[in-house]
Amino acid sequence: MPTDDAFREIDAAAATLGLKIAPEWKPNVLMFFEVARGMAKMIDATETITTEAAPVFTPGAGQ
Amino acid sequence: MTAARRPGIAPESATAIAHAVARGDVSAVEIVEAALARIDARDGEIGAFTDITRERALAEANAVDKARAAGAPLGPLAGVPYAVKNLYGIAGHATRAGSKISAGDAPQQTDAVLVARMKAAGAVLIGALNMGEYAYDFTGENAHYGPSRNPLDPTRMTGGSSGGSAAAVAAGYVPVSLGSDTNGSIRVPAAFCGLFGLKPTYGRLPRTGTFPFCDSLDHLGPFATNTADLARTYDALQGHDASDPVCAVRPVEAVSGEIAKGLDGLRIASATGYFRTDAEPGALAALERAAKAAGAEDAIEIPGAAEARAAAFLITNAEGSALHLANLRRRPADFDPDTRDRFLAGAMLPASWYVAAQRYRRAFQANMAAIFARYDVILAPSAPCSAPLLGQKTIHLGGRDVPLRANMGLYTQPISFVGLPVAAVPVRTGGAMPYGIQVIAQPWCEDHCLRVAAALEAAGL
Repeated sequence: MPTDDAFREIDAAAATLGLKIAPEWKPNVLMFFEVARGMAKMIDATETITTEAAPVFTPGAGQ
Repeated sequence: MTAARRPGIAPESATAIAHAVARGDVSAVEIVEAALARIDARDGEIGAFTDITRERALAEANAVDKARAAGAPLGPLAGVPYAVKNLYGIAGHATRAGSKISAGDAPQQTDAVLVARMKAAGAVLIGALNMGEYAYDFTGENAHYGPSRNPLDPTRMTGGSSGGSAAAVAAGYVPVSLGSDTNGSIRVPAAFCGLFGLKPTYGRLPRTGTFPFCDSLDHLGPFATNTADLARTYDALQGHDASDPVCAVRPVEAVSGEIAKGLDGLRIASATGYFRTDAEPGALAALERAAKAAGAEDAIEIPGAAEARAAAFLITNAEGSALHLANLRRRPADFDPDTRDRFLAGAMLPASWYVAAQRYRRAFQANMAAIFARYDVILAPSAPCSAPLLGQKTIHLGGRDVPLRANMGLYTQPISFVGLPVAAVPVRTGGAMPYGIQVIAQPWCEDHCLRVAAALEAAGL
Protein backbone atom coordinates (compact mmCIF):
# COMPACT_ATOMS: atom_id res chain seq x y z
CA MET A 1 0.00 0.00 0.00
CA PRO A 2 1.56 3.35 -0.99
CA THR A 3 2.40 5.59 1.93
CA ASP A 4 1.65 9.29 2.18
CA ASP A 5 5.42 9.86 2.15
CA ALA A 6 5.69 8.09 -1.19
CA PHE A 7 2.96 10.27 -2.67
CA ARG A 8 4.64 13.38 -1.26
CA GLU A 9 7.91 12.28 -2.89
CA ILE A 10 6.15 11.99 -6.26
CA ASP A 11 4.42 15.36 -5.81
CA ALA A 12 7.71 17.08 -4.99
CA ALA A 13 9.56 15.57 -7.95
CA ALA A 14 6.68 16.41 -10.31
CA ALA A 15 6.65 20.02 -9.15
CA THR A 16 10.41 20.31 -9.72
CA LEU A 17 10.02 19.01 -13.27
CA GLY A 18 6.89 21.01 -14.08
CA LEU A 19 4.75 17.91 -14.44
CA LYS A 20 1.08 17.81 -13.53
CA ILE A 21 0.03 14.33 -12.50
CA ALA A 22 -3.73 13.82 -12.26
CA PRO A 23 -4.80 12.20 -8.97
CA GLU A 24 -6.14 9.12 -10.74
CA TRP A 25 -2.76 8.54 -12.43
CA LYS A 26 -0.73 8.72 -9.23
CA PRO A 27 -1.12 5.15 -7.93
CA ASN A 28 0.14 3.77 -11.26
CA VAL A 29 2.97 6.29 -11.48
CA LEU A 30 4.02 5.44 -7.95
CA MET A 31 3.83 1.72 -8.69
CA PHE A 32 6.16 2.11 -11.67
CA PHE A 33 8.51 4.32 -9.63
CA GLU A 34 8.71 1.63 -6.95
CA VAL A 35 9.51 -1.00 -9.60
CA ALA A 36 12.37 1.24 -10.75
CA ARG A 37 13.54 1.66 -7.15
CA GLY A 38 13.74 -2.12 -6.85
CA MET A 39 15.76 -2.31 -10.08
CA ALA A 40 18.15 0.37 -8.82
CA LYS A 41 18.68 -1.59 -5.59
CA MET A 42 19.70 -4.63 -7.63
CA ILE A 43 22.36 -2.59 -9.43
CA ASP A 44 23.55 -1.06 -6.15
CA ALA A 45 23.93 -4.51 -4.66
CA THR A 46 26.43 -5.52 -7.34
CA GLU A 47 28.83 -2.89 -5.93
CA THR A 48 30.21 -2.40 -9.42
CA ILE A 49 33.57 -0.70 -9.07
CA THR A 50 34.44 1.66 -11.87
CA THR A 51 36.33 4.85 -12.31
CA GLU A 52 34.23 5.81 -15.32
CA ALA A 53 32.52 9.08 -14.51
CA ALA A 54 30.50 9.14 -17.71
CA PRO A 55 30.60 5.71 -19.30
CA VAL A 56 30.34 5.44 -23.05
CA PHE A 57 29.25 2.06 -24.37
CA THR A 58 30.95 0.54 -27.38
CA PRO A 59 29.84 -2.90 -28.53
CA GLY A 60 32.66 -5.37 -28.65
CA ALA A 61 34.99 -3.26 -26.52
CA GLY A 62 37.29 -5.67 -24.73
CA GLN A 63 36.01 -8.65 -26.70
CA MET B 1 -4.76 -10.31 -65.53
CA THR B 2 -2.78 -9.40 -62.43
CA ALA B 3 -0.94 -11.76 -60.11
CA ALA B 4 -3.63 -11.04 -57.52
CA ARG B 5 -6.17 -12.75 -59.80
CA ARG B 6 -3.88 -15.61 -60.79
CA PRO B 7 -3.49 -17.76 -57.68
CA GLY B 8 -0.05 -19.25 -57.38
CA ILE B 9 1.64 -16.81 -59.77
CA ALA B 10 3.05 -14.60 -57.01
CA PRO B 11 6.06 -16.18 -55.27
CA GLU B 12 5.90 -16.07 -51.49
CA SER B 13 9.48 -15.40 -50.42
CA ALA B 14 11.47 -12.25 -51.01
CA THR B 15 14.27 -14.24 -52.62
CA ALA B 16 11.85 -15.99 -55.00
CA ILE B 17 10.15 -12.70 -55.89
CA ALA B 18 13.47 -10.98 -56.67
CA HIS B 19 14.52 -13.91 -58.89
CA ALA B 20 11.12 -14.08 -60.63
CA VAL B 21 11.06 -10.34 -61.30
CA ALA B 22 14.65 -10.43 -62.61
CA ARG B 23 13.76 -13.30 -64.98
CA GLY B 24 10.60 -11.54 -66.14
CA ASP B 25 8.33 -14.34 -64.92
CA VAL B 26 6.20 -11.75 -63.16
CA SER B 27 6.29 -7.97 -63.04
CA ALA B 28 6.95 -5.92 -59.93
CA VAL B 29 3.60 -4.20 -60.50
CA GLU B 30 1.82 -7.57 -60.44
CA ILE B 31 3.57 -8.48 -57.20
CA VAL B 32 2.64 -5.18 -55.58
CA GLU B 33 -0.98 -5.31 -56.74
CA ALA B 34 -1.23 -8.79 -55.22
CA ALA B 35 0.19 -7.54 -51.91
CA LEU B 36 -2.23 -4.60 -51.84
CA ALA B 37 -5.14 -6.95 -52.57
CA ARG B 38 -4.16 -9.19 -49.65
CA ILE B 39 -4.03 -6.18 -47.34
CA ASP B 40 -7.39 -4.88 -48.60
CA ALA B 41 -8.94 -8.29 -48.01
CA ARG B 42 -7.81 -8.93 -44.44
CA ASP B 43 -6.19 -6.02 -42.70
CA GLY B 44 -9.45 -4.64 -41.41
CA GLU B 45 -9.36 -7.63 -39.07
CA ILE B 46 -5.60 -7.78 -38.34
CA GLY B 47 -4.73 -4.08 -38.00
CA ALA B 48 -1.11 -4.37 -39.13
CA PHE B 49 -1.09 -1.17 -41.21
CA THR B 50 -1.71 2.43 -40.20
CA ASP B 51 -0.81 3.87 -43.62
CA ILE B 52 -0.84 2.36 -47.11
CA THR B 53 1.53 4.04 -49.58
CA ARG B 54 -0.37 2.76 -52.63
CA GLU B 55 0.68 5.42 -55.16
CA ARG B 56 4.30 5.30 -54.10
CA ALA B 57 4.29 1.51 -54.20
CA LEU B 58 2.97 1.39 -57.75
CA ALA B 59 5.46 4.07 -58.84
CA GLU B 60 8.38 2.18 -57.29
CA ALA B 61 7.21 -1.09 -58.84
CA ASN B 62 6.87 0.59 -62.24
CA ALA B 63 10.41 1.90 -61.92
CA VAL B 64 11.69 -1.63 -61.29
CA ASP B 65 9.82 -2.97 -64.32
CA LYS B 66 11.12 -0.15 -66.52
CA ALA B 67 14.69 -0.77 -65.34
CA ARG B 68 14.37 -4.43 -66.24
CA ALA B 69 12.90 -3.60 -69.64
CA ALA B 70 15.83 -1.27 -70.27
CA GLY B 71 18.33 -3.96 -69.33
CA ALA B 72 19.55 -2.04 -66.30
CA PRO B 73 20.94 -4.00 -63.34
CA LEU B 74 18.33 -4.81 -60.70
CA GLY B 75 18.86 -4.75 -56.96
CA PRO B 76 18.83 -7.85 -54.72
CA LEU B 77 15.28 -7.06 -53.59
CA ALA B 78 13.85 -6.07 -56.96
CA GLY B 79 10.08 -5.93 -56.79
CA VAL B 80 9.90 -7.21 -53.20
CA PRO B 81 7.03 -5.54 -51.31
CA TYR B 82 7.83 -4.55 -47.73
CA ALA B 83 6.54 -2.24 -45.00
CA VAL B 84 8.04 -0.45 -42.02
CA LYS B 85 7.11 0.15 -38.39
CA ASN B 86 5.59 3.61 -38.28
CA LEU B 87 8.58 5.10 -36.49
CA TYR B 88 10.55 5.01 -39.77
CA GLY B 89 10.49 8.30 -41.64
CA ILE B 90 8.66 8.14 -44.98
CA ALA B 91 8.84 11.17 -47.24
CA GLY B 92 5.48 12.90 -47.37
CA HIS B 93 4.14 11.26 -44.19
CA ALA B 94 4.20 12.30 -40.55
CA THR B 95 6.05 9.77 -38.40
CA ARG B 96 3.41 8.55 -35.94
CA ALA B 97 5.68 6.40 -33.72
CA GLY B 98 2.44 4.81 -32.55
CA SER B 99 1.24 8.06 -31.02
CA LYS B 100 -1.55 10.57 -31.40
CA ILE B 101 0.85 13.40 -30.51
CA SER B 102 3.47 12.83 -33.24
CA ALA B 103 0.82 12.02 -35.86
CA GLY B 104 0.22 15.76 -36.00
CA ASP B 105 3.83 16.56 -36.89
CA ALA B 106 4.80 17.91 -40.30
CA PRO B 107 5.34 15.30 -43.03
CA GLN B 108 8.91 14.06 -43.43
CA GLN B 109 10.95 15.62 -46.21
CA THR B 110 13.05 12.51 -46.76
CA ASP B 111 13.00 8.78 -46.11
CA ALA B 112 14.83 7.19 -43.20
CA VAL B 113 18.24 5.92 -44.27
CA LEU B 114 17.13 2.29 -44.17
CA VAL B 115 14.02 3.02 -46.24
CA ALA B 116 16.28 4.69 -48.82
CA ARG B 117 18.53 1.62 -48.80
CA MET B 118 15.58 -0.72 -49.35
CA LYS B 119 14.52 1.42 -52.30
CA ALA B 120 18.05 1.33 -53.71
CA ALA B 121 17.91 -2.47 -53.45
CA GLY B 122 14.72 -2.48 -55.56
CA ALA B 123 12.26 -3.17 -52.73
CA VAL B 124 8.84 -1.54 -52.91
CA LEU B 125 7.38 0.26 -49.88
CA ILE B 126 3.75 -0.70 -49.28
CA GLY B 127 3.10 1.28 -46.10
CA ALA B 128 3.66 2.01 -42.42
CA LEU B 129 2.85 -0.43 -39.65
CA ASN B 130 1.10 -0.31 -36.30
CA MET B 131 3.20 -0.29 -33.13
CA GLY B 132 3.04 0.30 -29.40
CA GLU B 133 3.11 3.99 -28.53
CA TYR B 134 6.66 5.38 -28.77
CA ALA B 135 7.90 1.77 -28.78
CA TYR B 136 7.38 1.43 -25.01
CA ASP B 137 5.46 -1.81 -25.32
CA PHE B 138 5.66 -5.59 -25.46
CA THR B 139 2.03 -6.32 -26.43
CA GLY B 140 1.23 -4.79 -29.85
CA GLU B 141 -1.74 -3.03 -28.28
CA ASN B 142 -2.32 0.67 -28.93
CA ALA B 143 -4.97 2.94 -27.43
CA HIS B 144 -5.04 5.23 -30.48
CA TYR B 145 -4.95 2.84 -33.45
CA GLY B 146 -6.21 -0.40 -31.94
CA PRO B 147 -4.15 -3.55 -31.51
CA SER B 148 -2.27 -5.40 -34.17
CA ARG B 149 -3.79 -8.88 -33.99
CA ASN B 150 -1.82 -12.09 -34.27
CA PRO B 151 -2.59 -13.61 -37.70
CA LEU B 152 -2.10 -17.11 -36.23
CA ASP B 153 -4.96 -16.42 -33.79
CA PRO B 154 -6.53 -12.93 -33.96
CA THR B 155 -7.69 -13.16 -30.34
CA ARG B 156 -4.04 -13.07 -29.30
CA MET B 157 -1.30 -10.46 -29.09
CA THR B 158 1.35 -10.02 -31.75
CA GLY B 159 3.80 -8.87 -29.10
CA GLY B 160 5.42 -5.48 -29.35
CA SER B 161 6.41 -2.97 -29.90
CA SER B 162 6.95 -3.98 -33.56
CA GLY B 163 3.55 -5.69 -33.57
CA GLY B 164 2.43 -4.51 -36.99
CA SER B 165 5.79 -5.47 -38.50
CA ALA B 166 5.31 -9.04 -37.32
CA ALA B 167 1.61 -9.16 -38.24
CA ALA B 168 2.22 -7.94 -41.80
CA VAL B 169 4.66 -10.77 -42.50
CA ALA B 170 2.77 -13.45 -40.57
CA ALA B 171 -0.44 -12.55 -42.42
CA GLY B 172 1.40 -12.99 -45.73
CA TYR B 173 0.87 -9.40 -46.89
CA VAL B 174 4.60 -8.83 -47.44
CA PRO B 175 7.55 -11.25 -47.22
CA VAL B 176 9.74 -8.88 -45.18
CA SER B 177 9.25 -5.88 -42.92
CA LEU B 178 11.40 -3.59 -40.81
CA GLY B 179 11.03 -3.01 -37.09
CA SER B 180 13.01 -1.78 -34.14
CA ASP B 181 14.24 -3.46 -30.98
CA THR B 182 15.27 -1.62 -27.81
CA ASN B 183 14.53 -4.32 -25.25
CA GLY B 184 13.06 -7.13 -27.36
CA SER B 185 10.65 -5.43 -29.76
CA ILE B 186 11.72 -7.56 -32.73
CA ARG B 187 12.45 -10.77 -30.82
CA VAL B 188 9.20 -10.98 -28.82
CA PRO B 189 6.81 -10.34 -31.78
CA ALA B 190 8.84 -12.76 -33.93
CA ALA B 191 8.32 -15.41 -31.25
CA PHE B 192 4.59 -14.77 -30.85
CA CYS B 193 3.92 -14.68 -34.61
CA GLY B 194 6.17 -17.59 -35.63
CA LEU B 195 8.72 -15.55 -37.61
CA PHE B 196 12.43 -15.06 -38.04
CA GLY B 197 13.88 -11.72 -36.99
CA LEU B 198 17.29 -10.12 -36.69
CA LYS B 199 18.46 -7.63 -34.11
CA PRO B 200 21.95 -6.81 -35.35
CA THR B 201 24.82 -5.59 -33.16
CA TYR B 202 24.19 -2.19 -31.56
CA GLY B 203 25.66 0.35 -33.96
CA ARG B 204 25.55 -1.89 -37.03
CA LEU B 205 22.61 -0.24 -38.84
CA PRO B 206 22.11 3.54 -38.96
CA ARG B 207 18.97 4.81 -37.25
CA THR B 208 18.87 8.17 -38.98
CA GLY B 209 15.36 9.24 -39.88
CA THR B 210 13.65 6.98 -37.35
CA PHE B 211 11.85 8.18 -34.24
CA PRO B 212 14.03 7.30 -31.23
CA PHE B 213 12.97 5.63 -28.01
CA CYS B 214 16.15 5.10 -25.98
CA ASP B 215 19.29 6.07 -27.84
CA SER B 216 21.57 3.89 -25.68
CA LEU B 217 19.66 0.74 -26.62
CA ASP B 218 17.81 1.37 -29.91
CA HIS B 219 18.44 -1.10 -32.75
CA LEU B 220 16.73 -1.56 -36.13
CA GLY B 221 16.26 -4.82 -38.00
CA PRO B 222 14.16 -7.00 -40.30
CA PHE B 223 11.46 -9.70 -39.97
CA ALA B 224 10.97 -12.53 -42.49
CA THR B 225 9.49 -15.98 -42.83
CA ASN B 226 12.86 -17.62 -43.51
CA THR B 227 16.56 -17.13 -42.92
CA ALA B 228 17.51 -16.55 -46.56
CA ASP B 229 15.12 -13.59 -46.85
CA LEU B 230 16.31 -12.25 -43.51
CA ALA B 231 19.94 -12.37 -44.62
CA ARG B 232 19.21 -10.86 -48.03
CA THR B 233 17.33 -7.96 -46.45
CA TYR B 234 19.97 -7.42 -43.76
CA ASP B 235 22.71 -7.30 -46.40
CA ALA B 236 20.78 -4.60 -48.27
CA LEU B 237 20.54 -2.53 -45.08
CA GLN B 238 24.19 -2.63 -44.05
CA GLY B 239 26.76 0.13 -44.33
CA HIS B 240 28.15 3.00 -42.29
CA ASP B 241 26.29 6.29 -42.18
CA ALA B 242 27.89 9.16 -40.31
CA SER B 243 24.56 10.84 -39.65
CA ASP B 244 23.97 8.37 -36.79
CA PRO B 245 26.86 8.95 -34.36
CA VAL B 246 26.35 5.47 -32.92
CA CYS B 247 26.74 3.76 -36.31
CA ALA B 248 30.04 1.90 -36.39
CA VAL B 249 32.60 2.52 -39.11
CA ARG B 250 32.68 -1.01 -40.46
CA PRO B 251 32.58 -2.47 -43.95
CA VAL B 252 29.51 -4.30 -45.21
CA GLU B 253 29.92 -7.87 -43.96
CA ALA B 254 27.48 -9.75 -46.18
CA VAL B 255 25.89 -12.83 -44.62
CA SER B 256 23.77 -14.23 -47.47
CA GLY B 257 26.66 -16.32 -48.70
CA GLU B 258 27.48 -17.50 -45.17
CA ILE B 259 24.24 -19.06 -44.00
CA ALA B 260 24.71 -22.30 -45.95
CA LYS B 261 27.92 -23.03 -44.04
CA GLY B 262 25.92 -24.74 -41.31
CA LEU B 263 27.11 -25.40 -37.81
CA ASP B 264 30.66 -26.57 -38.63
CA GLY B 265 33.17 -25.10 -36.22
CA LEU B 266 30.62 -23.24 -34.10
CA ARG B 267 30.69 -23.86 -30.34
CA ILE B 268 27.08 -23.64 -29.18
CA ALA B 269 25.62 -23.72 -25.67
CA SER B 270 22.19 -23.05 -24.22
CA ALA B 271 21.59 -20.57 -21.41
CA THR B 272 20.39 -21.88 -18.08
CA GLY B 273 19.79 -20.37 -14.63
CA TYR B 274 18.10 -16.98 -15.07
CA PHE B 275 17.01 -17.89 -18.61
CA ARG B 276 15.08 -20.97 -17.46
CA THR B 277 13.57 -19.50 -14.33
CA ASP B 278 9.92 -18.55 -14.69
CA ALA B 279 9.55 -19.75 -18.30
CA GLU B 280 6.44 -21.83 -18.94
CA PRO B 281 7.00 -25.48 -19.92
CA GLY B 282 6.40 -24.87 -23.62
CA ALA B 283 9.13 -22.24 -23.76
CA LEU B 284 11.57 -24.60 -22.06
CA ALA B 285 10.61 -27.44 -24.39
CA ALA B 286 11.26 -25.14 -27.36
CA LEU B 287 14.71 -24.32 -26.00
CA GLU B 288 15.47 -28.01 -25.53
CA ARG B 289 14.40 -28.81 -29.10
CA ALA B 290 16.56 -26.02 -30.49
CA ALA B 291 19.54 -27.05 -28.36
CA LYS B 292 19.25 -30.65 -29.52
CA ALA B 293 18.96 -29.64 -33.17
CA ALA B 294 22.00 -27.37 -32.85
CA GLY B 295 24.04 -29.97 -30.99
CA ALA B 296 24.32 -27.65 -27.98
CA GLU B 297 25.19 -30.09 -25.23
CA ASP B 298 26.49 -27.58 -22.70
CA ALA B 299 24.21 -25.42 -20.57
CA ILE B 300 25.81 -22.27 -19.19
CA GLU B 301 24.87 -19.74 -16.58
CA ILE B 302 25.22 -16.08 -17.56
CA PRO B 303 26.29 -14.21 -14.42
CA GLY B 304 24.58 -10.90 -13.78
CA ALA B 305 21.68 -11.41 -16.22
CA ALA B 306 19.03 -10.29 -13.72
CA GLU B 307 21.00 -7.14 -12.91
CA ALA B 308 21.56 -6.50 -16.63
CA ARG B 309 17.83 -6.63 -17.16
CA ALA B 310 17.32 -4.23 -14.24
CA ALA B 311 19.86 -1.82 -15.68
CA ALA B 312 18.25 -1.97 -19.14
CA PHE B 313 14.91 -1.20 -17.48
CA LEU B 314 16.32 1.91 -15.78
CA ILE B 315 18.16 3.23 -18.84
CA THR B 316 15.06 2.78 -20.99
CA ASN B 317 12.76 4.40 -18.46
CA ALA B 318 15.04 7.39 -17.89
CA GLU B 319 16.03 8.09 -21.50
CA GLY B 320 12.55 7.51 -22.92
CA SER B 321 11.00 9.80 -20.36
CA ALA B 322 13.56 12.54 -20.89
CA LEU B 323 12.84 12.41 -24.63
CA HIS B 324 9.14 13.05 -24.05
CA LEU B 325 9.41 15.44 -21.11
CA ALA B 326 8.08 18.47 -23.01
CA ASN B 327 4.93 16.61 -24.11
CA LEU B 328 4.53 15.05 -20.66
CA ARG B 329 4.29 18.62 -19.38
CA ARG B 330 2.06 19.99 -22.14
CA ARG B 331 -0.12 17.08 -23.29
CA PRO B 332 -0.06 14.21 -20.77
CA ALA B 333 -3.67 13.28 -21.50
CA ASP B 334 -2.82 12.67 -25.17
CA PHE B 335 -0.49 9.75 -24.36
CA ASP B 336 -1.66 6.15 -24.28
CA PRO B 337 -2.32 5.65 -20.54
CA ASP B 338 -0.22 2.48 -20.58
CA THR B 339 2.87 4.42 -21.65
CA ARG B 340 2.14 7.77 -19.97
CA ASP B 341 2.32 6.51 -16.40
CA ARG B 342 5.63 4.75 -17.02
CA PHE B 343 7.07 7.84 -18.70
CA LEU B 344 5.93 10.03 -15.80
CA ALA B 345 7.62 7.69 -13.32
CA GLY B 346 10.77 7.57 -15.46
CA ALA B 347 11.00 11.35 -15.61
CA MET B 348 11.52 11.36 -11.86
CA LEU B 349 14.30 8.76 -11.59
CA PRO B 350 17.40 10.08 -9.81
CA ALA B 351 20.37 10.61 -12.14
CA SER B 352 22.51 8.38 -9.91
CA TRP B 353 20.28 5.37 -10.73
CA TYR B 354 20.71 6.02 -14.44
CA VAL B 355 24.50 6.42 -14.26
CA ALA B 356 24.86 3.29 -12.14
CA ALA B 357 22.86 1.38 -14.76
CA GLN B 358 25.13 2.67 -17.55
CA ARG B 359 28.22 1.69 -15.56
CA TYR B 360 26.87 -1.82 -15.12
CA ARG B 361 26.96 -2.26 -18.88
CA ARG B 362 30.74 -2.50 -18.84
CA ALA B 363 30.66 -5.09 -16.04
CA PHE B 364 28.09 -7.27 -17.81
CA GLN B 365 29.94 -6.89 -21.09
CA ALA B 366 32.98 -8.43 -19.39
CA ASN B 367 30.82 -11.34 -18.20
CA MET B 368 29.63 -11.97 -21.75
CA ALA B 369 33.16 -11.65 -23.15
CA ALA B 370 34.29 -14.45 -20.82
CA ILE B 371 31.46 -16.65 -22.09
CA PHE B 372 32.25 -15.89 -25.73
CA ALA B 373 35.84 -17.01 -25.12
CA ARG B 374 34.37 -20.49 -24.70
CA TYR B 375 31.35 -20.42 -27.04
CA ASP B 376 30.44 -18.77 -30.32
CA VAL B 377 26.67 -18.93 -29.95
CA ILE B 378 24.27 -19.02 -26.99
CA LEU B 379 20.63 -20.17 -27.25
CA ALA B 380 17.99 -18.70 -24.93
CA PRO B 381 14.20 -18.28 -24.96
CA SER B 382 12.82 -15.11 -26.56
CA ALA B 383 9.87 -14.85 -24.18
CA PRO B 384 8.70 -16.79 -21.14
CA CYS B 385 5.41 -17.76 -22.82
CA SER B 386 3.59 -17.95 -26.15
CA ALA B 387 1.28 -15.14 -27.33
CA PRO B 388 -1.13 -14.04 -24.56
CA LEU B 389 -4.72 -13.05 -25.23
CA LEU B 390 -5.38 -9.44 -26.23
CA GLY B 391 -6.28 -7.38 -23.19
CA GLN B 392 -4.57 -9.76 -20.81
CA LYS B 393 -2.82 -7.84 -18.01
CA THR B 394 -1.04 -10.57 -16.06
CA ILE B 395 0.73 -13.84 -16.83
CA HIS B 396 1.36 -16.83 -14.60
CA LEU B 397 5.12 -17.29 -14.28
CA GLY B 398 7.08 -19.15 -11.68
CA GLY B 399 3.94 -20.08 -9.78
CA ARG B 400 2.57 -16.56 -9.43
CA ASP B 401 0.61 -13.97 -11.41
CA VAL B 402 2.86 -11.10 -12.52
CA PRO B 403 2.24 -7.98 -14.67
CA LEU B 404 2.45 -8.97 -18.33
CA ARG B 405 3.99 -5.80 -19.76
CA ALA B 406 6.79 -5.76 -17.22
CA ASN B 407 7.80 -9.36 -17.79
CA MET B 408 7.72 -10.04 -21.54
CA GLY B 409 11.30 -8.77 -21.88
CA LEU B 410 12.81 -10.89 -19.12
CA TYR B 411 15.04 -12.84 -21.48
CA THR B 412 15.61 -10.28 -24.23
CA GLN B 413 16.59 -7.23 -22.15
CA PRO B 414 19.92 -8.55 -20.78
CA ILE B 415 21.09 -9.35 -24.31
CA SER B 416 20.29 -6.04 -26.02
CA PHE B 417 21.67 -4.28 -22.92
CA VAL B 418 25.18 -5.00 -24.27
CA GLY B 419 24.23 -4.78 -27.93
CA LEU B 420 24.79 -8.41 -28.89
CA PRO B 421 23.47 -9.59 -32.27
CA VAL B 422 20.51 -11.98 -32.07
CA ALA B 423 18.55 -13.96 -34.62
CA ALA B 424 15.02 -14.76 -33.48
CA VAL B 425 13.95 -18.25 -34.53
CA PRO B 426 10.41 -19.66 -34.23
CA VAL B 427 9.86 -23.07 -32.69
CA ARG B 428 6.65 -25.06 -32.87
CA THR B 429 6.17 -27.57 -30.08
CA GLY B 430 2.84 -29.10 -31.06
CA GLY B 431 0.73 -26.51 -29.26
CA ALA B 432 -1.45 -24.00 -31.06
CA MET B 433 0.99 -21.11 -30.80
CA PRO B 434 4.74 -21.01 -31.47
CA TYR B 435 7.57 -20.08 -29.12
CA GLY B 436 10.76 -18.25 -29.98
CA ILE B 437 14.46 -18.81 -29.43
CA GLN B 438 17.21 -16.21 -29.34
CA VAL B 439 20.38 -17.20 -31.20
CA ILE B 440 22.96 -14.90 -29.64
CA ALA B 441 26.52 -14.24 -30.82
CA GLN B 442 29.34 -11.89 -29.92
CA PRO B 443 29.37 -8.38 -31.39
CA TRP B 444 29.60 -8.11 -35.19
CA CYS B 445 29.06 -11.87 -35.68
CA GLU B 446 25.60 -11.74 -37.23
CA ASP B 447 26.83 -14.47 -39.58
CA HIS B 448 27.06 -16.88 -36.64
CA CYS B 449 23.49 -16.04 -35.58
CA LEU B 450 22.15 -16.60 -39.07
CA ARG B 451 24.11 -19.80 -39.72
CA VAL B 452 22.57 -21.35 -36.62
CA ALA B 453 19.14 -19.92 -37.49
CA ALA B 454 19.38 -21.48 -40.95
CA ALA B 455 20.39 -24.82 -39.48
CA LEU B 456 17.44 -24.75 -37.08
CA GLU B 457 15.14 -23.83 -39.96
CA ALA B 458 16.50 -26.73 -42.01
CA ALA B 459 15.93 -29.04 -39.05
CA GLY B 460 12.23 -28.21 -39.28
CA LEU B 461 11.74 -26.52 -35.93
